[in-house]
Amino acid sequence: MHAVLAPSFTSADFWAIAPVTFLVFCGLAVLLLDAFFPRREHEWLAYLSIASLLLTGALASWLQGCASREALSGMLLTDPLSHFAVLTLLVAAALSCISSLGYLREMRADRAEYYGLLLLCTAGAMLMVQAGDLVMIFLGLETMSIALYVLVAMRPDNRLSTEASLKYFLLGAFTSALLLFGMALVYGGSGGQTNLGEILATLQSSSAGTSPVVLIAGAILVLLGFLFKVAVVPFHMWAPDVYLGAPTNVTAFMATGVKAAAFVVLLRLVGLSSAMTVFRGHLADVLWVLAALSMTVGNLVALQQTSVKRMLAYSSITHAGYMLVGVLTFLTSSGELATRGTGSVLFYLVAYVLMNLGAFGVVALLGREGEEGDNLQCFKGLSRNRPLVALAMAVLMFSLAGIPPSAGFMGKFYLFAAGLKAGYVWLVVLALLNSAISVFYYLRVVMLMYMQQPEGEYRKAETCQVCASCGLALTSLGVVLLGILPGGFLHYALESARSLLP
Amino acid sequence: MHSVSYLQYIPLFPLLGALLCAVLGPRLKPAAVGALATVMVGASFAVSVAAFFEVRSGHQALQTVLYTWNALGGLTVDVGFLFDQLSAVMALVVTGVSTLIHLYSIGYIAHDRSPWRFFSYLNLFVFSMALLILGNNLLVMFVGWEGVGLCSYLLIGFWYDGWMKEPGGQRGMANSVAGMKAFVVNRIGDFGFLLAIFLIVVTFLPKVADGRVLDFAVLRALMEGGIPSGIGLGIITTICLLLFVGATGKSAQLPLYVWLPDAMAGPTPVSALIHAATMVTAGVYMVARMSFFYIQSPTAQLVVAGVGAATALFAATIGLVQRDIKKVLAYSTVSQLGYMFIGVGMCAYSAGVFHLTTHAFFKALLFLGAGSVIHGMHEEQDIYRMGGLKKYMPLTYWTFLVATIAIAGIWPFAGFFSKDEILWQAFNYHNEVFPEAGRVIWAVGLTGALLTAFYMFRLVALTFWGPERFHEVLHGKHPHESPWTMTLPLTVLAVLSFGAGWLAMPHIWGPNLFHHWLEPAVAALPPVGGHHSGPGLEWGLMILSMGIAGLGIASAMGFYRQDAPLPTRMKAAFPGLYRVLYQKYYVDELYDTAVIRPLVSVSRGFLWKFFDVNVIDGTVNGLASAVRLCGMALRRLQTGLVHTYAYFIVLGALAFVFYVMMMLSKGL
Repeated sequence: MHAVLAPSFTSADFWAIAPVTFLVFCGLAVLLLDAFFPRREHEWLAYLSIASLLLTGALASWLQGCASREALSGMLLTDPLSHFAVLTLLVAAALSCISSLGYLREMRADRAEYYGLLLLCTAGAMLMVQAGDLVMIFLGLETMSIALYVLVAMRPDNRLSTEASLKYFLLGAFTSALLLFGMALVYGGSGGQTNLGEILATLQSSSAGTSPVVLIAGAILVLLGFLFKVAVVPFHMWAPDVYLGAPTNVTAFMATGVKAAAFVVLLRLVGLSSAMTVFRGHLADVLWVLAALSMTVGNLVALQQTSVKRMLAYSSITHAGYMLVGVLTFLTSSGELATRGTGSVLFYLVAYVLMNLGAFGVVALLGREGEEGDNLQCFKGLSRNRPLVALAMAVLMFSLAGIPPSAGFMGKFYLFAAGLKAGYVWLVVLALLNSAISVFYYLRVVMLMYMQQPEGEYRKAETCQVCASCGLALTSLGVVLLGILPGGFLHYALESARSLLP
Repeated sequence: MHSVSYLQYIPLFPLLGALLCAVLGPRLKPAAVGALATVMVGASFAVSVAAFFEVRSGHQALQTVLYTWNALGGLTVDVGFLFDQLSAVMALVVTGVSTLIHLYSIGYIAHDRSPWRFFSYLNLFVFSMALLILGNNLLVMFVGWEGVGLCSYLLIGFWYDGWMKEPGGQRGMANSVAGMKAFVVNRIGDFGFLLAIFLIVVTFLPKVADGRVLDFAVLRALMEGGIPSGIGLGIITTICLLLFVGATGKSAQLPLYVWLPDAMAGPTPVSALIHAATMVTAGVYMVARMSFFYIQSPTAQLVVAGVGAATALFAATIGLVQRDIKKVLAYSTVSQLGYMFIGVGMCAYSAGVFHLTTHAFFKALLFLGAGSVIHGMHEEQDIYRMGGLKKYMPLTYWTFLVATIAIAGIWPFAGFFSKDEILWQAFNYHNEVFPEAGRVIWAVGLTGALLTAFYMFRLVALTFWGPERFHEVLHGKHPHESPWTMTLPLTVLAVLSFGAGWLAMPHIWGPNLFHHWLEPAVAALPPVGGHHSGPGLEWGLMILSMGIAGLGIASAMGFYRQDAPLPTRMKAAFPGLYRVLYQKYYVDELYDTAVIRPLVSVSRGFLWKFFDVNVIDGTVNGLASAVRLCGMALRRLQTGLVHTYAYFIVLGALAFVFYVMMMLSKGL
């Protein structure tokens, strides 16, 4: 084997995979530490995990300065977009670790495996967003997904949790098969390429031995795999069940970190597809319909929910629809406008990650003695029992509804402004109408918290909630900060987006 | 332009104060809250003084850009502050007078239910006002503009469950209604201001490379050599007039002045600070700030100066007969604001802004004096029930008298210098559109000065001189002098009202320091040839206006000296005129009949009872139930069965592939 690896494995390659490797080692270390030093409570492992996530982020940022744009002969991309996505992922993972403090113990699901698997899942997602090759994408995706299947089933005594895990596993396997089939078609259609850059070059030169129809069929199936991961209608049906059944902190990571990673890969794939001029327009038509469906269906069903977790699940489908507007802008325009499309998606992703981590964090905070606190009833009169938590939740709900000055508002503004500029007037009108509808179910939570009396006695948590509350404060402050001072961050997002353009 | 890093502290301290008062206030003693608020505004005054000295020594404007508020679409807006000679004057006046009034308020508001709410609003007001005067572009200015409007509304309705008392004792307008009236009338003006901003963006954006089209410095540079090519004078005039619509709302000019007299429902320190010294001058400041637009448009100059002159005279006539001490002062404020607009309208920016400055001193003093009187008279405001207060409240009386002489325009008090400068500039003003405009405005201004002297001395005579008429109201109690926290600001303001005038001497006497100071910050009209007036003429006009003021004072003293029968006889001789003036020309009634009542009845009868109930509610409810039904139907699809979900994935995939392939085969 070393004969194959040795000539091409340079020190630059080593540094490029160093952050992921470090995180994998940390994940394994957490698992082993529990085996050697078993304790009844595992919070120390949570702190260890948060520290290793932050260290990975620091390492990645430090190495970013000296890295070239790709490594491992094109398998791994280390461009600004990768870096942006990696940091977003790590923040999402760290924040969901924080929200698990206390929650897991309340849920009688305090296991060391949770932390180890979360780190491995994050490592898989990191590989996926950095991948420059179809094989690497698949590898990352599976590493991430397999860890997730187990994470969803973290409460084996809970029927919903096991059911959710099984459903997610079955449908995930199903789409993985489609994805793999699509990759095979692309490989065949492009004349034996799996590297994204080389596929692009083939497309642009349209050399002999390529078959456009096979390539397009393959591209459709690959895209489909990721449309499933980001939960776009009609590939969304797993999301509400899985989000509801999974432990809240896992849901938080799935709805934010995993979704962000999938969106970044989707952007790379869409960028590739836009090089196929015959396919571009038709893909845009399909994405248009999917965006419109996602926004509308997600919203209409979210209106009906009595569980906040399920409501957030449907609303995440809606938000995926909004983000598709930016993806569409990227797909069908060129130059600065395409960058604006991608940049607005990246900005919105971060806003969305913060908002949802916060909102799920609040739900996690309300869980008591093995019972989830996700019913709307739990929010009645919360402003009297937990004024600060209620305030944070109100900020997050306003932001999710897109009311200024919040990250959600600025994100929507950038997305829709780019969409309008690219000519998607009716889609933007539909998105705005949907935003108006969504205000109803977001503000219902605020209304319950502030305008109703609490029902029954307020049960104090058995565990300390200081750290989880700090995480909550961080997210809601971030949401407000991004709403007031979006300029610098938007600039960063646009710079990262630029690396998607040739 | 010199960049510094501390200008943001001028608005920041009051903002912090507002937050602290709101959060900690309920737990603190009233005096402690007041002290906190006063210290915060004082700190902001200190920063302004430091910045003033830096501008003075460096001879250039200061700027702090906090961050760039990045809006897509080519427009770039900095959140930044500009401290040039003009904003320096405003900042010193606003923070200085605010500090004094905060100090005064500690005593005034001590026995209220919620002093912390009062001080929180008051600090918030200073914050917004600082944004307004320090913003380095129109958008920050507009944020401040809206902010002061909000604070004004909150403070007018501060006693939201109370009513104003009509002279005679019956209930007047509810305080909350007065607040709403101010807010709504201001909104009409704000709409003009917004339109002007939009028009500026649309007109000038193509001419600015980096998108900072709302920045004052950028706009000024664009207009430096006349109107840029490709833009008509009509556009510039329209921008000026729309801006002025905003100014008439905020600065209570015809026809939008109606809210200011009713704004007197607020606590008296509020009337002094917001509705006399600072906020209402925002329109004057804005016109001076946009001077580079106004010098280009003779039509706009004529409109501004004309409206100012008309307001000056109109409000003064109403002030002649009012019985409520604060109403007299309110109409006087409207009238004096008219003088400021005469000044800035004729591009005599230093004259207009100087009158703004001296007016801030003496009018704040008059209001605080009135507050002291009301406080001492146990909340009585009807001057027909006062009289002889000189004996009981000596310090209040003497300071009030200083301010009265100042506003009447008697040498060497501050008002003489500022008002006379405006009249002198009016006399010499030449307008291409209407050459005689200057002389007409001068004559109107002079008449207004006569009336001002008259109604102010009437006020002093009825309040402080003559027989004591308060015994039946006070039921044997005596009026009392106010505590030192209230009289100290009175004294400081009296010194300023007396002495500030020397900063802007007529040029035949010596250097006009104020004019020189302001020169770099405002645009100036090119000098008109062949229009030189000699020093003899200037002396003559000065003596004339002194004589006019003296005539006003003498007749007021004659009319209202002890038990003079003359006012009663005049009232009997011209009952119609008296009633028209006392009822303020029935303008409120006119607006009520012509605008408000039709609007309300259409809103109620058609918009609410028909359109809202049937069309909007019908649509919304119909949509909501339709949405709910759709939701129910869609929810059915969520069966919970994995194979259903898989079917949907397959169906979606098939539809996707099928569509693309079909389209491709069509294309191929």
